[in-house]
Amino acid sequence: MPSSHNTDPPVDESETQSSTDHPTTKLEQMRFRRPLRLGIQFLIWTVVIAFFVDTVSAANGLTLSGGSRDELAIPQWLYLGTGGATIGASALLASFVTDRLFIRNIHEWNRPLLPVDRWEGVVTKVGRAVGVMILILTISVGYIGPQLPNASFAILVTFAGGRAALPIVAYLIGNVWPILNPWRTIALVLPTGFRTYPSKIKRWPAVFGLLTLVWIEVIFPVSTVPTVLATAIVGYSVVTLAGAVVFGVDPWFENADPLAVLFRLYGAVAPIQRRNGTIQVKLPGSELTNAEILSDTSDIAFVIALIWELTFSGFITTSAGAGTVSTLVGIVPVELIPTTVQATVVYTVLFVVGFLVFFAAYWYAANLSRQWVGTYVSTETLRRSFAPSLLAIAAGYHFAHYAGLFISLSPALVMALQSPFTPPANPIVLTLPGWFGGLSIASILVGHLLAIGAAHAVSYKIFASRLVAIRSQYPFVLVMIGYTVISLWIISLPSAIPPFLQ
Amino acid sequence: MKRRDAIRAGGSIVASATLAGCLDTLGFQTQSAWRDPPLPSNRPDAVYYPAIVEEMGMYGMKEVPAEGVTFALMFSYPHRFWTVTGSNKQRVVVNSDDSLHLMASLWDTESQTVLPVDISLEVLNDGESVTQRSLWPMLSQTMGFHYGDNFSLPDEGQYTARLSVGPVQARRTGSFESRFENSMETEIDFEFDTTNTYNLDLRRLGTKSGERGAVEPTMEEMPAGRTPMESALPGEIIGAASSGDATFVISYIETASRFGDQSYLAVSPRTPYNRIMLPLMSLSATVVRDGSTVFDDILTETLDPVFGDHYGGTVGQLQSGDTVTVTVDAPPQMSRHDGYETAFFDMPPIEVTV
Repeated sequence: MPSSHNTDPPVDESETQSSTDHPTTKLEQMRFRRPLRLGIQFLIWTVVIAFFVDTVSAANGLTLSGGSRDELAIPQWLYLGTGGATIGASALLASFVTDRLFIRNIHEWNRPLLPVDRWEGVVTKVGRAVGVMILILTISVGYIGPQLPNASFAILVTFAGGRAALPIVAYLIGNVWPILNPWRTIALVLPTGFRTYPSKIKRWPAVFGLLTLVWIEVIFPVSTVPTVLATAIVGYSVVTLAGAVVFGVDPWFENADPLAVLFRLYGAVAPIQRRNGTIQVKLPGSELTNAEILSDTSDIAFVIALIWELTFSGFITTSAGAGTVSTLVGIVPVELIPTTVQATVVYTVLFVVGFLVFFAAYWYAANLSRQWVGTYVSTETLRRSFAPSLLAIAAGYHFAHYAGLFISLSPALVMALQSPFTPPANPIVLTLPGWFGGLSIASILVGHLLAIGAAHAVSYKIFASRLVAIRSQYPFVLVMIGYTVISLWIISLPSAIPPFLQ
Repeated sequence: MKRRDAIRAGGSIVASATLAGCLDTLGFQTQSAWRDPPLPSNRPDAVYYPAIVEEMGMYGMKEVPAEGVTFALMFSYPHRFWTVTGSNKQRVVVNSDDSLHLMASLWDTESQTVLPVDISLEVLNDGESVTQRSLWPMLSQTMGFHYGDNFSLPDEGQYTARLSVGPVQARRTGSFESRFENSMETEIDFEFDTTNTYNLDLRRLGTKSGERGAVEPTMEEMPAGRTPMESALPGEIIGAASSGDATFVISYIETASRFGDQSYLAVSPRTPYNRIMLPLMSLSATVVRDGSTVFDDILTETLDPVFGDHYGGTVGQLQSGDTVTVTVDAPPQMSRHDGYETAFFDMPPIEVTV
């Protein structure tokens, strides 16, 4: 985005200039209040809807007794309000940080750790061997090993490992997937590159792939029946290897493979980054101001899909989610179609519509941002520049939803890794202490704070005027508040088993 | 234990002990992954399809010819179950050191009548006692009536199960009158190998779970403790009614030598769907004729070659128009597996008119 720094229209610049001199003019107050008022309205509506959905599901009596989540000790409206207000307040506070140099220094601070070439060969070889070995074990144990989920190497490695632990490593430390990725390793020894990857479709195949993977996870019992999981992995392997063979290893894994794109993007949040053959330490989230992370609408869609899939799979495992699904399945007046088919349709429609709503909210935020500041910077540029900050939000959600799962299953995972073929007589799991719920809430808030910090820095990169920069963030901050409140609401709900699924 | 296993076990014990110590301080606690498996959210107060049903494996059967009795020892994954005291139930969760669920059953070899007894199981390894426990009388959908508990074994390997039973406490009639009076003991050798456990089939009942109903008992080579079909019961059936989801079939026998040549009222309670016997209840009955009570007494649990386990009493000649009321003083004092733990508790009296 080389042209974006000085594209503010002169009119806007002068107007901002004058209001900086008189910060309490009526006009400026109005401009500050409008987004605030919108934010408050949004909060109120979210809380009202939260109460409504909760009542509906309670009336259905679907709340599972003995749910694993403890009820919150404080009223839900207060909890959600506080969460949303924290994000909003931090955005306002951030807007007081107007020292460009300070902001740039924070986000560009880095220390080189070590050059890559000295150890890369060995680590890559070991990592690739481990990755391929685990893939082979997962598929074979999935078919011939024990069929109990908590004792199954396949399920533990896939979900406690791949779904929970690896993304956590990716955003808390750094992305190791390019080394582990077993499909990439296998594709490297195959003849590849028979067709050129159609550059027009960008990362859309990865977006579609990610949504499909999550859809499969919801609809099919991949997390409970090892043979089903193994079949799904075989299917994924066939598609992935075929894609890599036809289009070449790098084009495929950079654009079309959902897992590779997912880990690359989560890795962008991490403090350890690889840059020009060196491993660097940066401040967590500071890499998110790098406009090169996302270069297309499909990338934005992928980031939104990350947030949405966590929201969705979180939602359907709560009493409110289960109640909503049951209610929707109940109102379909078709008796001839089996309930499981109806339920599948309901889950699919909810999943797709929710994604579109989340995507549209962000899309509209960029339009709004451009309108409010009246800039020459294209909406497209705004959209792409602010989207990486959403990755910190996604990472926060992921931690809130999956850190507990990983810790809980870790003893069983260790046992499974020790002896994949002869599982223990009785697999052991860990119970989570009460304070862990607080950690989940904290991780969501920290993710949002990082996102707001990044958005703040991005706006300063784009706009020369401080007030324009601050104003440009408001619509995005509102969307972020929306995502946060929904997420906080979901983790506050008692858990339930998603209805109608095997 | 093989040396390699010993090293591996030792290593993981040290590692997990260190880790467990740290995690304990932070409030994390270890527990079995099977501690409390999912329950359907909409359990009725009746027999229902559980979320998951597991197969059992057979360790061995042994006949004791002198007593005409056959024992069987079976195994499955460690199970969650509910014990019953009076009208209260207590959930027994799977402990982290439970290795397997051991089940025993014994029956009259000839008539295949399952016997209600007190039974204890001692597990021995190389002649040395590993653990000993009285088994719970239990009801499960795949097994029917049996005895069982979760056991912790130190390691995989060869073991001997010593089953000791006391005499049948219930009154015995007919050809059973002079039998099952002695204590007996038998031993069944088995090899504990987790691979065998994991080879057991596991079925998720999906959308069916939580609905009223029960799966069929699956053991083929042994009786599940079924009571005879209503049509196969001797005497005149004066009523069959449901209470607490159990079916009570009430039969009246004008005269039979094995019941002391007196008119006999037999109440045969059984589970719905599979007709599994319900021993260890306390029942009483009243007979009211023209407004006055002509019989009011408890019914005695009785083991009969034709009725099987049932509850009976000599009531005197019944006449048309008599009202017979059977009252449940205590529900079946049996432990229950998933699908039976909500049924047979709130059991109102049953009233039939002759």
